[in-house]
Amino acid sequence: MSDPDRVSIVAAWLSRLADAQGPARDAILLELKSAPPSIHDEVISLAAHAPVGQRLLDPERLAPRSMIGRRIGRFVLGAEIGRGGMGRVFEGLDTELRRPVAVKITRWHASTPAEVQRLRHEGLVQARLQHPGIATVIEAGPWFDDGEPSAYVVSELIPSAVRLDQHARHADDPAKLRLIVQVAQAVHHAHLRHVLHCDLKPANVLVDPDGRVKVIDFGLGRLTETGTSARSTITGQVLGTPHYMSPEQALGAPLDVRSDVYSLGVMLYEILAGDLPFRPDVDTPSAWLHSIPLLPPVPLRQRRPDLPSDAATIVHMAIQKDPALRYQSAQELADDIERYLRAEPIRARPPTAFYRATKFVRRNRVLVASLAALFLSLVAGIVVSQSALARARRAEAQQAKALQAEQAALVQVSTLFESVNFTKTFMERVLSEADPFVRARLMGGLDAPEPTVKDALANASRLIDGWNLAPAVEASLRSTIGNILRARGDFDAAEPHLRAALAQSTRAEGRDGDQSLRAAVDFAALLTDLRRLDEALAILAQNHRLRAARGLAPTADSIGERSLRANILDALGRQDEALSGAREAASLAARTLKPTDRARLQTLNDYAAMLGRRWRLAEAATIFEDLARTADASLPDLDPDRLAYSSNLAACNASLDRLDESLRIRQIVLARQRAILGETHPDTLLSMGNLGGLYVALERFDDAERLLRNTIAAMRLHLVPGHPALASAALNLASMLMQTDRACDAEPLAREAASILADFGGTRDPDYLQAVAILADCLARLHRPAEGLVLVQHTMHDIESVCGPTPPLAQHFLSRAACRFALGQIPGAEADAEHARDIMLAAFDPSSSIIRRTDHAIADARALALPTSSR
Amino acid sequence: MPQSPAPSPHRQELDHLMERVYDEMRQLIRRVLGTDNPPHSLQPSALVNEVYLRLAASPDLGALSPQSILCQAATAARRVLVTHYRHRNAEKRGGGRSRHELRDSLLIASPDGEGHADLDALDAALDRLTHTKSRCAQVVELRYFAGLSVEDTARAIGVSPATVKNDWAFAKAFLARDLASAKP
Repeated sequence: MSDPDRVSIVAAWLSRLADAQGPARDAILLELKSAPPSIHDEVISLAAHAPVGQRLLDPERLAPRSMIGRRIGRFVLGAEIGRGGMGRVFEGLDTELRRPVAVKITRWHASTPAEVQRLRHEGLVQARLQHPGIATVIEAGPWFDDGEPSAYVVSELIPSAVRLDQHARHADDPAKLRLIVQVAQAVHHAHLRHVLHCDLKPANVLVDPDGRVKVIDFGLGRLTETGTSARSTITGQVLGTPHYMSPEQALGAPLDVRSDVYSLGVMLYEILAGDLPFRPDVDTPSAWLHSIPLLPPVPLRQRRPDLPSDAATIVHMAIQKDPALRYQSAQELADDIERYLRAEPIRARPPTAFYRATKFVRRNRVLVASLAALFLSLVAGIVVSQSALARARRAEAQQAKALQAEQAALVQVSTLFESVNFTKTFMERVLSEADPFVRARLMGGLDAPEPTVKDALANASRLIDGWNLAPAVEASLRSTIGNILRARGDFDAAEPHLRAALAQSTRAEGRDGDQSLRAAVDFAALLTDLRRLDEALAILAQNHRLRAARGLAPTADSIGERSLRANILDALGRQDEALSGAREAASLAARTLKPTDRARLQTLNDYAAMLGRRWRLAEAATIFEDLARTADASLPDLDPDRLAYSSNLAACNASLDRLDESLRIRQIVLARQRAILGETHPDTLLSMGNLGGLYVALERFDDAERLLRNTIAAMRLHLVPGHPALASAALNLASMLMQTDRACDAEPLAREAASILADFGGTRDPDYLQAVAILADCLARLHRPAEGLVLVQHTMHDIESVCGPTPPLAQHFLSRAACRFALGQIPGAEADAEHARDIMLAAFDPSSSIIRRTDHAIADARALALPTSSR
Repeated sequence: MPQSPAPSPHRQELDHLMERVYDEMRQLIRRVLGTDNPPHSLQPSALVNEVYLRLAASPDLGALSPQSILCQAATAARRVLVTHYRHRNAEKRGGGRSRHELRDSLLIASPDGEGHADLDALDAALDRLTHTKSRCAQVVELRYFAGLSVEDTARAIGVSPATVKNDWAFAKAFLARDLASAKP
């Protein structure tokens, strides 16, 4: 960088970038690509530092007024001893008690007497926090700093203290962990008194020379916000550093103690790893706010391979995006760290052992849709068939009915007064609390606190253990608990219950009794969820033999069994058997069951779903259309099945390039889901992701980006990790970003989606294969075409054998073409592009928009063949 | 090169400038030290005197344009502040009183938005910027150390305001990157 002219050119670019935001900025970046590479690289490198530079020499930050000698009440101010986004800290003297104090003056806007009152009140509350780990607040109140409304907080002065991170630099790992234990205990003390910190960060944790921790600025986060609700306000919060902010705080959601637990976790991560768990591309507060709910943390052990895995597990549990998955209090975190330090087993469990299995019911899904995508931009999303959820819910309802009958029977024949009581307690605790639909009806919404569900189930389970129940009764109760846990996606917890249900009903009535046969199917379905497919198949085979031996005619149950078996075979990669099995089940259902029988609708849905995954979309759409019509005529308005069939139909239509029709149905479905299930239900979120995909296909990129980013943020907060709905939304967003020349941002999303889908459906799963194609295309655009080519070569064969010459295969060809163009293998690339176009032409009308998008995609891929220096 | 004292128009210009520089210095002291009552060595008058002395010592004072005098003043301000900062830090290391969250009050905002970076480090970074493009470093001195607006800076170094804006954008990013990479 010594040529002054070059500097001037670089400077002009930087200046333009500094003034531009959003699309205008993207346009400049695009234009920049045509600059010589050395200029381009220098501008990019400097632009990354521009936001910091802005603050570095910001004249605004350099205009403090001297405070020395000024009085606030009985306190006289001395030298300034610290400054942060929240305000300035001064040394001061308490003239009454003749002792040194710290006085913080912070921006605060109190416009009404009520707010001033509240500030005083908060000051009083804090003053009541008496804990060796908390800097005692002596007084707080509103103050006018040269006519500017402010607040002052006076607290004890801690001499010779340094910030947590400075102190930790010279400490070993156990000492670092013990520091956080101290902080967590102090924070917990405040939590017990209903004071949240809301701005925990190393600058707010001081350590004195003896290694004792003092947390400062307690409750200031809440103190400084306007309004009286417990919500965090973005404006109030961003004043501080967002690095340690919890996802719910970044999203402006209601806060509780678990938000502070998150911040503790980030601090612990940082002092152990020497860096934050993740960083957005640009270091600006708004980039941080957007990233916190989105970006996954870098695994701690990647940065510290020498750290024992239990320690890493503790940290990662504390920084889970979903508060429900974190330690539920600061004390729990402190306790687990202490257990670790004493070399006892810790409570936190690594995600692999527990949460990865905790996914939503996976059977009967449809890939409808997916991705004729990337460039074709037809990512309507993977449909994890909602009907599977619906089925589980229905199972609960049936169990509830069975329970009622049992209860009546117990009253009649049993002298066990306790049994009645027990059943009553059980019903109240479990059913009313656990079933989202019951909760919705009883409590007028799905916002009842989730943890109580788990608690209630645990209670119920303990109740059963303590009662010596008849095997049939126990089987029935276990089955209820197990199925509810399964419906909630807590497969590991469901396993012992459904296993016991099968064992107890076998004890009561033999393995071939009706209840046993049903318990066996439930258990097999759960084993399928747990990917224990061979065990599941064995149980179904046994059921099949027993039914045959009893000479039973086909019933709804036995047809459901066949359908489940077909889905398991599909998951095992035995695709021909799977399809014929599903077809048999469907035709049996169509022949023997009433048109409105739910089992019939369900079985047909499973079959259509399987057709959809093989891209036989027209057939699938016909079935879904019929199902939707039947369901509309026969099922109640708010029935979840109705939504499921319509949703699948919308997804099919999207993949068939009937975008307007798909949009119409999708909007109706989504509106109903919002009303019935609420904003954060997995089905609703999935639909939102699919709607985002439609926007992408319709080239409404701004709408798509906004919706998808919000949806993904909400999914990270509300869905279990590794949920396929997240993969679907991430792929849609990746596709959108690639179409707007932001492959760089698309790559991590595509990578994450591929990893989720591989984990969920295996590496021959069409959804996974599609994700790989998108990833390969990303890499081609990111000047890493060789990597992309390796990936797509690998999956080409699988996608061809699973889907045949359909749009997903076309997409693979297009991805490979992009990689080959970028590698300069022009003839091979042209052949791939030609293949892709032929496949698309066979599937769609030449004048359709999807063909136009295909041509556009081919042109884009060709552009990659241009020499890199001109890009 | 005139050997005699500078003609009176220049004198007047210089006096007028010095008045302005004096004001600028006051602002600077307030901004950087956060106080109206700096130690004696940093009184605006002392600073201005030092600048004046430097300028007066210049053999070709008469040839100096008002603009270049302003530039010199800005450079002098930088030197004086950095020297003072080093001096105080040395004192502190020798056993100053302890404070919590302690930083020197002679500060610039640090890159992480909290606490403060080292004025010494900024000075070194500015030197490196001078090697890369001296005009950019001059813009920083005038904008930051002398508190001039974009327009005034442009007049002082005889370029367009747009160029000053570009140089300012470049300088800020350059310094931020330089400080980040210079961190241990």
